[in-house]
Amino acid sequence: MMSCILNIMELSTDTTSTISYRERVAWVSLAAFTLPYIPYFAWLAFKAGPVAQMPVLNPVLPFALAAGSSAVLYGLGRLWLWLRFRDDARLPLDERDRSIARRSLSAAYGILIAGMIVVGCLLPFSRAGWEIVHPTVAFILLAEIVNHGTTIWLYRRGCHD
Amino acid sequence: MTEAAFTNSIRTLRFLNGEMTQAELGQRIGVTRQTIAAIEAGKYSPSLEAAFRIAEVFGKRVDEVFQRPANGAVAQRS
Repeated sequence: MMSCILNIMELSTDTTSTISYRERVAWVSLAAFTLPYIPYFAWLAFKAGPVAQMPVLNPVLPFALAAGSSAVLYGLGRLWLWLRFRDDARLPLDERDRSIARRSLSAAYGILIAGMIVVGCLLPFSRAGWEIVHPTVAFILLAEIVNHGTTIWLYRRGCHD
Repeated sequence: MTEAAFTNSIRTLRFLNGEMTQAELGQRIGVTRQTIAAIEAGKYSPSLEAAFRIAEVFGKRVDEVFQRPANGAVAQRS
């Protein structure tokens, strides 16, 4: 695990790394989307008491904290990648990058559509307020995880159209 | 995940062409060094256009650079 992180960030001395810049971006995005939101959803799952209804804005502060942390992590990660791999960052996407991006987005799109059907067409009949907002955020998060996870998987394990 | 349907001789051809680097080859055909490494390792199947470009760089035919194993399995990746 540690060697994997070192390779992604290229903190090791290996200068012949075969890791694509786009794969590094996917790792940063995956970390930025998962690390802050996992504690947030864990807190939601285990906190005592019923979920607050919509006029009550109690969940806003933890949610803002998670969203803000995610944005800061992503921004800092991208900045660091750009400073560390500036030459690679300037290269346009090649055919392998485009192929992987197409397949990843296609997988994530399915998750996103399924999620939007649930929260937009089914939940409004039985739930309201935060009980709709939270699943919406969760499905968007899941779609992002699938997108970046698939990207990393295809870069690591191979991509053959 | 599907396996590469063919092997290739890119690494050997690079060596025989003045030890051309992956970055040089990538630059000549319009892909990144990492994509050349992925093609050599059988982790990416290039488009027909890229395959022709690679063959042109080495002055070879496409079937001299990319080979499909007789039994359909990828026995080795040179």
